Formats: sequence, structure tokens, C-alpha cells
Amino acid sequence: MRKGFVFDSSLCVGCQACNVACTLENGFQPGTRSIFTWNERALPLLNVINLSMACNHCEKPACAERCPAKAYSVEASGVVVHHAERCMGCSYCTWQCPYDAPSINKSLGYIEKCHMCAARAVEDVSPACITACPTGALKLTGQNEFGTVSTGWFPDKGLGPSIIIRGAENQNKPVIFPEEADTEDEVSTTDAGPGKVQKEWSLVLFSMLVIAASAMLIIYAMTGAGKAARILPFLMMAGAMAVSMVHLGVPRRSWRAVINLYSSPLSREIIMVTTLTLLAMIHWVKPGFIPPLITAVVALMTLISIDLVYFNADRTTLLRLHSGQAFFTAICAVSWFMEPGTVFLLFSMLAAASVVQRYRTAENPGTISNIYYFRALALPVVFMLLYPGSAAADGAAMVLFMAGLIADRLLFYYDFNPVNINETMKTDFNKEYETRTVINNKRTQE
Amino acid sequence: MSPDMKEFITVCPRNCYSTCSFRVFAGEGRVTRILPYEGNLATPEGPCIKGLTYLEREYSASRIIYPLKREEDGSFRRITTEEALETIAGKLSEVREQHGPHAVLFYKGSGCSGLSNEIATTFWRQFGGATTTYGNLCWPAGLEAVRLTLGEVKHNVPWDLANASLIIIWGKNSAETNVQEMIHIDRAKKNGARVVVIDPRRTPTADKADILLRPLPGTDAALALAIARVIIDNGLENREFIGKYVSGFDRFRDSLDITPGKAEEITGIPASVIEDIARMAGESERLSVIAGYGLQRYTNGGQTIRAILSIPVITGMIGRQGGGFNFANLQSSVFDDVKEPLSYYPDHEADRPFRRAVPMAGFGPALSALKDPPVKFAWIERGNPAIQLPASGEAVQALRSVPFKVVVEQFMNDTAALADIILPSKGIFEQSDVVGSYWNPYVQYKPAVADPPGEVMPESEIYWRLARKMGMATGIKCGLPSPEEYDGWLYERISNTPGLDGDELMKQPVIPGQNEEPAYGQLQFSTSSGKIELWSDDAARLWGVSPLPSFDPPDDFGEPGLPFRLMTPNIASRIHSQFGNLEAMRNVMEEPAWEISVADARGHGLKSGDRIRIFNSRGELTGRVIVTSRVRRGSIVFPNGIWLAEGGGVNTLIPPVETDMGHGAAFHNTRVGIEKIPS
Repeated sequence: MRKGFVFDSSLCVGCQACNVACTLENGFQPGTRSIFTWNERALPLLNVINLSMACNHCEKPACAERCPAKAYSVEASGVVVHHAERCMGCSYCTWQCPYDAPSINKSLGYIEKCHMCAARAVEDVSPACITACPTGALKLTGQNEFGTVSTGWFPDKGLGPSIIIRGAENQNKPVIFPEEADTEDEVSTTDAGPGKVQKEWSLVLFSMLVIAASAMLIIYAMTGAGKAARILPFLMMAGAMAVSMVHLGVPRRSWRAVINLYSSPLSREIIMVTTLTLLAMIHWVKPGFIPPLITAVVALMTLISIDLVYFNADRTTLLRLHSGQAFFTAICAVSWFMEPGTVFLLFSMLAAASVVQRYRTAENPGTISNIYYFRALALPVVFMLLYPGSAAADGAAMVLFMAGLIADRLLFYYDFNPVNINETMKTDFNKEYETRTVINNKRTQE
Repeated sequence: MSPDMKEFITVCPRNCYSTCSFRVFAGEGRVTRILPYEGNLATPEGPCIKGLTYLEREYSASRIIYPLKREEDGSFRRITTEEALETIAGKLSEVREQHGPHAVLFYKGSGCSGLSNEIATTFWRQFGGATTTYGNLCWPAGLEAVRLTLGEVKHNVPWDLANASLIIIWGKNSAETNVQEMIHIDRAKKNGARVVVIDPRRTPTADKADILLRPLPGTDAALALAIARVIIDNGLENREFIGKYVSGFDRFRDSLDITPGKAEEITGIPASVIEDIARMAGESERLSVIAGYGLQRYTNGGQTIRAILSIPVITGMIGRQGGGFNFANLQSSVFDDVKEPLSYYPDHEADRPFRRAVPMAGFGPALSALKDPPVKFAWIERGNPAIQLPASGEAVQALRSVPFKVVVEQFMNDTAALADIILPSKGIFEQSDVVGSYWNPYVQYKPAVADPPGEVMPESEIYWRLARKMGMATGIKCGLPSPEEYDGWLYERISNTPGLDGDELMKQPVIPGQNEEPAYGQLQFSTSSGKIELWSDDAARLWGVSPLPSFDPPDDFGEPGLPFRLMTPNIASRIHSQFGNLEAMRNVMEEPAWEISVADARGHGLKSGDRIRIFNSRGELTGRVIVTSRVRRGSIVFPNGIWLAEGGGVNTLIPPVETDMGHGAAFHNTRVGIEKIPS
């Protein structure tokens, strides 16, 4: 028998009592339990559906399974407990959870997550959110089997969330008189954005440093080029390690990063990065002590381990075919230095295919579409610059080529979107809204 | 939870429909946990978000827990309780000697209800009288309308709503102001009832409705009378009920000149929809009409409530299970000699010989105009007049000109900031008391379960100490009990009240013996005619309105050119000016902003986040605008009670005008214009 929440949306008025009660009871930051709203702008022709949610204590909790530091445990009751004293604050669980349950407390540095009020459970008292709910919309249940939630907006990653949701069907109510013609873009949004998932600059920098160092080590193994700058790969790897340390909320627990080798892609990545750093150091201090080919193979494995960290959290094909992947980016960089040039041509064509496939990115306003255009234009322009064969133009081509790779890596982070309820709710609402608006326009015209 | 924690049933004493019961765990003088009390059938689940924050409120670092004295430079300095009371007693004696007792103003708000508040009245009576206020800011127009029609003001128990087959929620946002009512509305829906909400706004309550009608603010009476006309035109009125229990029906029927078409012009609701709603109401088996308080804060407020009330009257829904008219339920006001709303009227006040009174709605101008004697000393408790009164700017001016002011408060709000001496006021867990409700039928005991922090004293003790210093008689017999006598005083007061048993009440919430369920179930009406009065001579005689329910367009106070009606509703995170200062609340609530409709934003070239100037002839404010589908064209919405420091002060734009009856305040008549501030 597993414990889980039962939520009746028809009773929820979005008052935030559950959120406040959680904060007062556990000292968690506000929003550890929060209310997600379908049609939060109350656009006409559609009803407003509230969902109060903290943690669904999944049967197969991805947060716990993939936590590199083994900061989670699962109790006999099915309650998934996060242990702050074991958490290093890497936020990887926030990528894994589609329900926004774990969230990083920036001032404390570690993750906070619902534990169904552990102290109350000992006394057989219901969690604070439940005893606080003034309408009784939230209750506790024990079930062997929690069925699936059948709404278009509830993310299903096959984790077996222990939650039952009632009264959340879209009924197109209330019918409003006099009718209004408010449109979506006119109404303000208090939208939470892409949820609490953090995509940080430190990670971008980290991965770019590892990609660059790996590429140099591979080029060395294949061509012997770069002898004069043996120290560079090591400096980059050391820099990457330092950056990843700084990114942690609790750096003194960074040693825990490697203890979940069995099921955390992040642990594997950290092991690989550490190993490669050591090899890079040997490459600098005692060249030849380790055969360069071995170092190159470890570099390739490291790049794959980085990609797996993201694939595992995202699970979209878009990311799997993305030319901004660490592995692909490094290989592209290497191909510049390889003979014959057809290898370079091949990888450029592959990158072009990936970029074309992502044409929708250009629809974004501002910076992101500019980066995309830059990436798309850089590919043919590099070839144009290479054509005359002048040294200056070749130099410019190389700079442009490398800048294109960096742009693609940035786009990779933009396209990295772990499944998240904010996103699924918004997508589902927009779909429904368009349908309703079309129906309504037709009706008005008739 | 340590074993020496004890569990108590208690009640929230704020000015709120719900008057929730809840359980608290207390030990070592402190409350540490709040849980629902299932025994109160009206509020069987958790308290609202505000109730939860008592865990913060009572122990907040910003709570005032020592007497404070204002310095020359305007800052406040801690003083001893002895010094504070000595100063106050001295001032009181001096003012009474030089100018008479009417030079003292005793102002009380609705911030904390309880039987113990009687002690304040007793003190001022023994002091020799005082200047007080008459009327009430909240609901008297509607109370009077119901009293004139039905004789008394009461309704069925809240959980009876589950038996209704049609619920019309008219101008009430229960989801934010009486959240537990949503439990009973949801039960009715699950039993198959339909829910119609009538409100210019799409509130969270309207989100739960089948149909939402959004009339122009202030035009509800036209809508109601058109509905009544369609009901009668279709022969859907309950003739048997009308024949036996209703007086003035024929004259009412003949006066109904607002056709659905005309109502459409006035309200904006399509005529065909008015006819549909009227038929739904007329054909419904059990119709409950719930009317809120916002729609009666107009110059036509009382007549509006009479018009709406005519619908359950002519359909014969009064006195029935699952039916009726829910405006206020005063069945638990068992302690009052004179029940509301009569107690608001100068002529009915028990202390007439001792009192001189100024109107609540016109407080500022009236106080400034007082002579013989002018007010020299003001005592303010349970209220925040600097923020909550209409024409709050004039109210603050008038209070500023009072030479000496004592404010009894928990937090440094805009009224406390005006004080010469601030006395800390008690928290809800610190003194035993008895609290009634105006929605649920219970009388409830509130035990003392926590120690007051610092030098906080209950008001009863403040008065007792002052009385001793001033040589007044004290003790249970005089109604000024000492701290040791207080619990005995309370017990005696309960036990002397018919329908209550002191020991029973201390165990759990009690429905007094005289409670009638369903309300008016005996079909006896204490009006002049002994029947339900659609025609009321009293209405015409007392208030100069039509003896029949009528639609009178709301007054524009000479500002018809200004395009917006200003609505200043209550919101989930506060009871008027209370609770908004707490951290737990600030964490989850958005910054207050001015909400306007999409159509009006289009017309004024505004986007969400733009800054605007909001003005009328009384003054102007600036603020951020939010464009939302929740607001109807022609109205602008800003919550009431926001402190000046939080960007509030909306009442400065509201004229000091009374409602058509009951001496209420016509807050929502206010018109304003807006203008974009270029960024």
C-alpha cells in the first residue's frame, strides 16, 4: 500500500492555503507545494482548472534513482524522502521530475521537497497541506495501484505518480453574458515560465571547456598537432571541474557526486570528467606515459557521458539529433583538422541537416532567433571563405566555424526542455483555446 | 509534538462570514499547530489562508508588544505600561474636566469580535459617555432591506445549501471571502444543482458556476426586477405562498415596468438571457439566493437587496429547506439587547443619553465639523480608520487635528502611526471570549491558550486598570472585571443568556436553543404587518425610498464624465487591512495592482505593467495596471485595505456618502478616470 494525494479540482479555488501551510509547517520555501492553473488568465469560453501539487511520491521516482549523491530514500509507505544533509545542490533531480516537486532553495543551497510531513506521519496526523485546505479539496489515500491521470496536461513519463485527480475535466464553463471577445495576447499573464528547472550558464561553460579539451586531446592523438600547448587541455579540464564545483549549492559535499555510479548519469559524467582531467594532467606533465589513443578514447566517452546526462532528463528526439551535442560538437571541431576534407564536409552537412530540422527556433523573438540565424549562416559562409584559399580568409573561416559550434551548443541548452507540467499545461491549453476560438469565430460569422 | 501539548477547540474572531472553528495545539504558553475541527458543520475543513498565518501573526517580530509613545520627531519610543496608563488617565480626566466627556472620541472597528468588547462600552458609559460613531461601513443597507422585508435577518444553516437545486450567487465572491461556503455549493452541484453567479467580475467563485452574468456595477436592482417580472408574466410565482404570507404583491406586480429589453439597456445582460434565468428561477424546486455585501454599498444598495429578495419571496422559497435568501444570519447574536441593524441607528442606541455620534460613512468631515465640544482625545481600537473609512484622506486630517490619540493595535499600521500612545492589543489565543457568527449558526467559545508576549494585556485589563486609576467603580457587578474576575464575568454573562449553557459552550461550538431551522420555517414574520413585506411603509417612512423595491440609478456625485466605476473588493489574503503585512502572505500574493478589462485597455492604449494615474475630483493615485478577462468593461478594481506603505490608500478617492438605508457607506458608487503615465 502506497500513500498518495487525492485532489478534487472542483473544490479548489486556488487560495494558496496549502502552499502557506507547507511553508509554515516545514520551513520550506514558498512554492514547495504550488498551484498550477490551466487557463490561469481566465480567458472566456474555457474554465479555470486548478491543481495543487507538491510531490507525487512516484512508484519509480526518477529524482531518487538519478540523484548522483543518493540524497533520496523511499520509505515503506512509498513516500519519497529527500535528505538535505546528503544533498550537494546539483539540481539534477529538478530536471528529472516532470511535476516540479524538488526545488532548489537558493539561499540554503540544497533541494527541498515534500516528505508528506514526516513529523506528522509519526503521530498519524495528515500532512499540513491537507489539514489546511479550507474546502477539503486535498486528501490522503493509501492504494496499491494509482491509475493514470487522464488529462491532456498531466505529464506522463511512466514514473507511476501516486496521485488521483478528480473534477479536472474541461467543461467550457461558465457561460458568460454579455459575451466578450478577449484575446490571449491582450490579457496579462502571471505565467511561471518554464518551471523551476534551472539551466545555468555555469553548465554551458563547463561543457564547452570539456568539449574543447577533448577535441584537443583527440586531435593530438590523431595528428600530433598541438604539442606546443600541452598544458591547455589540462587547464581547460581543471577549469571545468572548478566551474562545476561552483555550480553546486553545497560545494563541500561535491565528493558525493560520484556515489551513484549504478543509476545516475550525472555520477558517470563526473567520474569521466575527473578521469579525463587526470589524463590531461599526465598529457601535460609526463607526455607519452599514457598512449594518446587511450586518452582520446576516454575523451570520447566523456563527451558521450555529458550527452547522456541531458538525454536522460529530456527524452526528446529533437535533442538526440541535435548538432549541439557535446560529442558531435567535438567531432566537428576535430574534423576541421583532419584530412581528407571530405570528413569535414560530411560533418558540416550533418550539422546543416540538424539546423534545418530545427527551423522553428527562428520563430522565437530576440536573442535566440539571432543565435539561430548566426548558426545557420555560419555553415555556408565558412565554405565561401575557404574557397579563395587565402590565409587571411582561412583564418576568418576557422574563427567563424568555431563560433558557429559555440552558437550551436548554446542552442542545445535552449532546446533542452525536460518534460515539465508548466509546459504541458500551457501547450494543452493553447491547443484547446485555438479550437474554441475557431468554433466561436465560426459561430459569430454564421 | 511533545506530550505536554494540549489540544483546544477555538474560533477565529475576525470580521468574516466563516467564523471558522479550528483545533490548536498549545504548550509552554505557545500555539504550534492548527488543525480543522470537523464538529462545526459549516467549516469542517481547514481554516482559510489567513487563519493559518496565526502561527506567524501571533509571534511576528513586527508585532507591537510594549506600549509606545510618539516622540517629537514622529518616531516611537517604548515606555512602561505604568507610564502609558498614567498619561492616558491624566489626559482623560483633564479633557473631561475642561470640555466634558463628549470631547472624547471612542472609535471601534470590526477587527476583533467577542463578548469581551462589551467591557469597552461599559467603561465609556461609566466614564460619563463619549462621542462615538453610528452606522457601519459594511452591510447595513442590506440588513435593513432584509429586516424591512422579513422582519428579522437570518438564513438557513450553510450546509443546507447542499439541498438546493438552483443557487444564484449574487455579488458575492465566496471563494475568497467565505471559502467554506464553496464546500456546500460544491455538494449541491454534485447533487445536481445548477449555479448562476451574477457579478461584474469573473471571480474564482464564478469559475465554479454554470452561468455568469456580468451586469454593470450598480444596476443589479434592474436585473432583479426584470427577472421578477418574467417570473410573474409566465405565471411561475407561488400564489399560495404569496396569498398567505406576502403583503403588497399586487402593487409590486403592477409596479414592474422594467422589461427584459429595458433591463438589457441598463445592465448589459441580453434580454433573452434574463428570460432564461427568470424561468430557471421560477421553475426551480429549491432556490437559494446568496447575496453579497459589495452590491449594497451603493446609494441604491438597500433597494437593490429588496429587489433581489423579491425573487425568493414570490417563488415561495422563504422558510424552506434548500431555499431562501442568504444575506446574513444573525441567529447567533444572542447577547445583543438591540440587534443589528437597529443598533446602528442613533435612535436605537442603548446609550443615547450618554452619547453624541458622528456617522461612520461621513466620519472625516463630521468629526472636523464637531463643536461644543470639539474632540480633544481619541481612543481607537479594533479598527484602521486611516485606511478603511471612505474619504480616508479627510478622516486622517480630522484625526490629526485631535490633540491626543490612543490607538490599541497589534501592528504599526497607518492608524497606529497617528497615535500619541500605542497600547499593544491582545492576540486571538491570549484571552478567553465568546464569538458569534453572521453566517454559521454557532456560538463559539475561544479559550485562552497562550501567554501574551511582552507587556500585552487584554483590552478588558487595560480598561480595568484605567478605571482604577481614575477612581471608577470596578468588579464583575459593574461590568469592569479584574483580570482574576474576567473568566467568572464571562461565564456569568454566558449563563445569563437564554438558549446557552456555559459548560456546554466551553466544550464545543453550540447552536443556541432558539435557532430556527430552516430560517423562517414557522412562517412568522416580525414586520409591521406580520407578513413578508414587498410593500413597506416603514421603508418609505424611515428612509424616504419607494415603499416598493425599485431601481434607482446609482449616484455619480457629479462625476458622470469619468468612465470607470471603482470596485474595491476584499481578497483572499486579507480581512480588510489585516494580514497583508505577514510574511507568509506576502510570499504567495502578488503585489496589488489596478485591474481593468481588455476592452478598456484597448481603448486607453494600456498593457499590463503600464503605470497609470487614477483620479477623480477627490484626488489622484498612481499604480500599475493589470489587463484581465476577470474584469468587466467599465469597471476598475483595486482591493480595499492595502496600507499606504504597500501602495494602497484607495479610499482617498471614495466620497463620504451613506447608502439609501441603514447608514452604510456607499463605497462602490465612486467614479474615476485613468490616464497612462508615459514611461
